[in-house]
Amino acid sequence: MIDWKINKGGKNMTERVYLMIIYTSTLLILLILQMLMPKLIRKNILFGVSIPTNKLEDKDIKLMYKGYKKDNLIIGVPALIVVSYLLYISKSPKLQTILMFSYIGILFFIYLKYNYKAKKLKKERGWDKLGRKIVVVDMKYSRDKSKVGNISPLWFLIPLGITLFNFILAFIIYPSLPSKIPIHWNFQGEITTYRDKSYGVVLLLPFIQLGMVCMFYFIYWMIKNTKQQIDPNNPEESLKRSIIFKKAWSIYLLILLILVTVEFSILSLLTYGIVFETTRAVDILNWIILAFSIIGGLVLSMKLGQGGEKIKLKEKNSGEVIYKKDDDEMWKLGNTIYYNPEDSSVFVEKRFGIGWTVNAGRLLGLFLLVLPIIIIVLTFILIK
Amino acid sequence: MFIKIDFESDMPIYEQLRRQIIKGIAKGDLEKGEQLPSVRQLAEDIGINLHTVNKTYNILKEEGYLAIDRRKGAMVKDIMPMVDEEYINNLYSELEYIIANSYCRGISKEEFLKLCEDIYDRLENKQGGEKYD
Repeated sequence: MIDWKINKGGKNMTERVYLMIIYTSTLLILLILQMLMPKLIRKNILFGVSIPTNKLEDKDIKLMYKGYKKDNLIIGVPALIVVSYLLYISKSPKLQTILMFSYIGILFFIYLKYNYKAKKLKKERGWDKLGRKIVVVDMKYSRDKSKVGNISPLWFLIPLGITLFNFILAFIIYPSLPSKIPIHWNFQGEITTYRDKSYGVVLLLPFIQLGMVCMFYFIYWMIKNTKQQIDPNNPEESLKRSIIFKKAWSIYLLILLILVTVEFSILSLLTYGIVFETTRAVDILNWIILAFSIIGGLVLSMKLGQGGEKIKLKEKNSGEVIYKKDDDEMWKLGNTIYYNPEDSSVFVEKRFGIGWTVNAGRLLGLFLLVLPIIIIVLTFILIK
Repeated sequence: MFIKIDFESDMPIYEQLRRQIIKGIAKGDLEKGEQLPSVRQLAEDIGINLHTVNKTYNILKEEGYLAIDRRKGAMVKDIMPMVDEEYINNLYSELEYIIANSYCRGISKEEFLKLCEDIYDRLENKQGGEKYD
């Protein structure tokens, strides 16, 4: 949304400060998430490496958690200050993007170091040779997946309806629009750029809106179709957790989508020059969306953990420990990319992080993995 | 019903799956006429190839446990397979091996029969006991 309002030429002081605050706080949130992540992911995963549940009390593991926190503070905080300053003085958006990505790169290297350590520890202790490799699957859940465990797809008719309304409105209002249409506002809410009236200009927003609805629906569909992960030691409880987890994130997505489509509709009304004369409503909605996405995301991550790991349910202790299937060798690049051609799942749970990732061993998975990289590179080449 | 697949077992995965489904039917965890997950869904959730699940479903269909409908997918049949001569012969040779194995280890006839009785009782009471898994 911010992009829409950025005036490309001649940024003034307040605008630059404003942008720097947004960028810096984004990076700060990334740093905080990175530091909290080891405790939010599945208990038996140590920096992306699977560890037998009954070995988690190991002294070296605790030391590793401490060292990770320290490294993030010693390297992450000073780097954040330097990057923020560079973001402030740099003028080209290209350079700023590179700066943001290099900070993410620094954070990733810290993670990689501990991922490597965890792999080494696992080997040294012989944990990779422990026990049997067992997978537990609930037949009924597997069958009824499309019916239980998530919100109804019909909810998506709300944002779709808002979008369609915007399309219809665009066609109805088109003949009565002036020949110049405002498309840019500065931070004071004054119109800075006009464009000649055409269907392309008027329908741009509804089309982006439609794209958003499709994208969010796709994510919802992906959540529904991820591979189920069940702890063989506690099948029923872990199934309940995963249902709550999926439902909560789907509701979060739906609310966010409705807010975003409403904002696009208001932006459209603004372009048509009806109803609103200032950008205030958009500004307020912007803040609501920003706050909801960040705070909501953080709260869900911290309250639920990966796969609902943090939800407290009554657990019965079966005494005997069953070792989960160890598929570490299927995880590449610091256990961040899943590559398993034998597995017919396209979407799987992330190892280090909250949410899901793709199986690069499947064609669709590989495509979805490479797509964002292609888009980023293309935009970089096209924007001169 | 939960099924457990052991990836390090000597028994092939399709066979493990077949046995667990039969056990599930016997225990009543899978009811008659009940729909099973689609081949794709089950393969994805276990993390195996489609062909493996397909193989299990086809074997169970041939044995007479499942009916495969074009639209509804695999379902537990209403009428269970009958006992024929071939099955009895099979049962005899399997049991012979199992009993021989137990006999060599010193399990008495009474102990063995007691085990059989327990297993039968569990199935008749429809208790999902996992003791002898």
